[in-house]
Amino acid sequence: MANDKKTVGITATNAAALAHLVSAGHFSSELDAAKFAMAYAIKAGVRSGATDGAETKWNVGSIDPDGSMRSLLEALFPESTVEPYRLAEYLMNEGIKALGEQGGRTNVYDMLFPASEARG
Amino acid sequence: MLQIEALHLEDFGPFKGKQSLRFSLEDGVTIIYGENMRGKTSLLNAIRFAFFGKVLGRGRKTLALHKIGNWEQTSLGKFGFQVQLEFREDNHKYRLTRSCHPRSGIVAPSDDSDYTIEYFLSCDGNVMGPQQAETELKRILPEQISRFFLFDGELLQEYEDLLNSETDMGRRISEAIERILGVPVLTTARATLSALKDKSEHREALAAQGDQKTRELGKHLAELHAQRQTLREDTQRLERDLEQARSQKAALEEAMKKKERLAAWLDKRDILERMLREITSRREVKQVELQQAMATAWTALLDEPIRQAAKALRTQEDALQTEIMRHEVLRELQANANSECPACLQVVSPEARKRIEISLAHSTGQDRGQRQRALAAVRRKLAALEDHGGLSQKSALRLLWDAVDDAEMDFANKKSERDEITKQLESVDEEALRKTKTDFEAAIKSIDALEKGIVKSREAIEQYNADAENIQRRLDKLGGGSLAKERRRREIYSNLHRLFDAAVGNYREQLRKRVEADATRHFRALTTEPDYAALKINDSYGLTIIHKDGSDIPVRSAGAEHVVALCLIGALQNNAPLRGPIIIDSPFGRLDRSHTRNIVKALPTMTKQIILLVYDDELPADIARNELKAKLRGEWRLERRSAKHTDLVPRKD
Amino acid sequence: MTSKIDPKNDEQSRALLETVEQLREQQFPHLSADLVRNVLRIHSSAAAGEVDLVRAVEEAVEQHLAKVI
Repeated sequence: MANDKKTVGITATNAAALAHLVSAGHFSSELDAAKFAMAYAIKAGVRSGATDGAETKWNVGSIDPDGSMRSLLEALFPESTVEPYRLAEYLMNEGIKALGEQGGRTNVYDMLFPASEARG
Repeated sequence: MLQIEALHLEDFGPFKGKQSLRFSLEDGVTIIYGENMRGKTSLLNAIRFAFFGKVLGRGRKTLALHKIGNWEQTSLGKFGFQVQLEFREDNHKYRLTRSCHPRSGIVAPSDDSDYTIEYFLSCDGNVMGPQQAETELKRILPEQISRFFLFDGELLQEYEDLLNSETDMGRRISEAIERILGVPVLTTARATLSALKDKSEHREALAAQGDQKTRELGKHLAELHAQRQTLREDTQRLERDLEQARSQKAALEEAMKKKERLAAWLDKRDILERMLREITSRREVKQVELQQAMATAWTALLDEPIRQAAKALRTQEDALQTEIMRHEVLRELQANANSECPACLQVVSPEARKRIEISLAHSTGQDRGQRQRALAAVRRKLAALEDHGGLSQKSALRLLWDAVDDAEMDFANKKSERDEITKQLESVDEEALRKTKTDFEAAIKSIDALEKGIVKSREAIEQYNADAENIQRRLDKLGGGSLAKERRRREIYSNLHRLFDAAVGNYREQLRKRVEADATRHFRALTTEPDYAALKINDSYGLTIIHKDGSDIPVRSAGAEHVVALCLIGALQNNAPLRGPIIIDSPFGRLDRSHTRNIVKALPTMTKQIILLVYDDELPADIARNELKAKLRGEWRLERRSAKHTDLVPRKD
Repeated sequence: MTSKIDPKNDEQSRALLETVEQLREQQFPHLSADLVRNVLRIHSSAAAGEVDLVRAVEEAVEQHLAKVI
């Protein structure tokens, strides 16, 4: 594989959506929100890809200090030709875009605890 | 003697359309049966409305007339009602019609101001003018004493007021009783004579000044009279001020009660604000905990993808493992020429050996090391998946979310409660309320000062009277013929005044004795308790039960209250010139059968026309018929057509 | 319709008269019984206003004085 990215970023168009996600108060940082968006994209079935024009935001050392996220992505996307961190960047941006398109009422609670799972 | 002949209702209360009740003019009892909520109280109110234009509810509160029109009719857009009363008094036949209708132009009235009330009174067929009609109605049935004829068995509180003459109500009621018993004739006469006595004293003093012998005394006397007059006027002014201060105190007491309510609200608001602050900090703490937990929450979304990926990887793992094992076996078989197949334990045949060789040749490319590495890679991936699988701790996360939500909900609820109270307090002038307390205290002081002032004034007047009498005596000794006539006149007025003054006290006393005797007579006929001997009357016509051993029975049940109240009514009827029907709503509600029987039997002795509004269990028809016999003049039923429609029907069974 | 002396006031008028007459006999025998009855009658009439009462009683007393003197 080609060299993986050392930094990960968000496109200009996604910046507002990310900020909006954080403003609801459930996430303490944009990074936490970005990871959540990435997971959302994976769950939604987004396939491997890469993002262009992402503005640098985080160092991979901050995102994935123990490398477990890279291992996870490699495990989830074994056929992918995209490097893990580049893939992560792609998934984050796709996720943020998708959540942004829901028009403000991003119901994080419902995503975490779907109605099909009854309240304990 | 007032006697009701007929009551015609139109859309009054539950009585939809035009309905009528007819009463016999023969002495006796008419009974109207109806279950509760059928309209018995409405019938009483219909008569009240006819005479006074008012309708009463619980606690003697005036009800809004807007609510009185039949509800089924109002839902059809037909508003208003009318009552017509036919009655006899002194051999004259009267017809009183009072109606309440929306003002012209108003199609959908919403409160009393949208209505107008009109009434007509005719006597022997001639309609009376408004002024005459008003005077006549006041004479026939003064509102103040209507309570003794239109008797609502449920509202006994006012009767208890009689026992406590301190209350405003108690005083008014005893004044009302005295009015119908003739006391005002004497008190008015006393007042007239007092004024004339003063006038005659003054004339005498003036006349004395015409004679040299008596001039000085005459002047002195005239001065005393003038000063006494001033004092009297002052006293009257003080008495008026006192009356005003007393009503002001009553009003302030009302306001104070209201203030207590507001103080309670203010407290509640403060508590709510404190709670809001607590909830906010609680929520903030939980919010931070939630955010911390959310840092790893993203893995919770991946449960499904991780499971799918793990499944795929395991399949891969199995395949790789199988492949590796197969090659191991094949190579072993290739290496040992005479080896047995570990599976079937047969020697490998030359044909089979050839096939093994070909198979091995085909599968080169991937040597053992590569295969092992691939398997390891798959196993690493599986491990990575398993690592993340356990991280999320979904249930703990959910608890935190719910805690934050609950705190927000709690906050919202308490905030709206607090806002509601704030709104209520907005329209209140807290400054004004604080002032109320100080005003109240001032009113009490003022009343105290006025009362003391009045006492002093009266004492001073007494002093003047004494001095004047002194001088009067000396004048009498000195005075000659010219003064004689004045003196005679003055003596007559003075004696007349003293006579009527004494008469007031005597008459009141006799009256009370007569009322007490009549009430006791009724009581002994009505009560079932053999130890109860009599009723004792107090200054305000309150009655206490006396035990046969002479002691007072201070407290009594609601049932006993009923009986005593009936005795008073009977006694008043016996002694009053104003005789009329007694109309009682639920007279027996709290009484047992024996009391009920006694009362039913005794009622006809109290007055000529009695109308009872009862329910079946209260007074079973057979008891009424047995006890009253021929005195039972009519029986009616209130029959239910719907919840808002009752019909008046003569009882046939 | 508005009678000066209500027929049904008979009993009450009698009671009032009794009270007053008894007092007169006992404590004011020198007062004329007629005059006292008159004063009472004046005040028993229902529709009298204050001014009328004073004038009526004055008249009655003057008439009485004229008779006696």
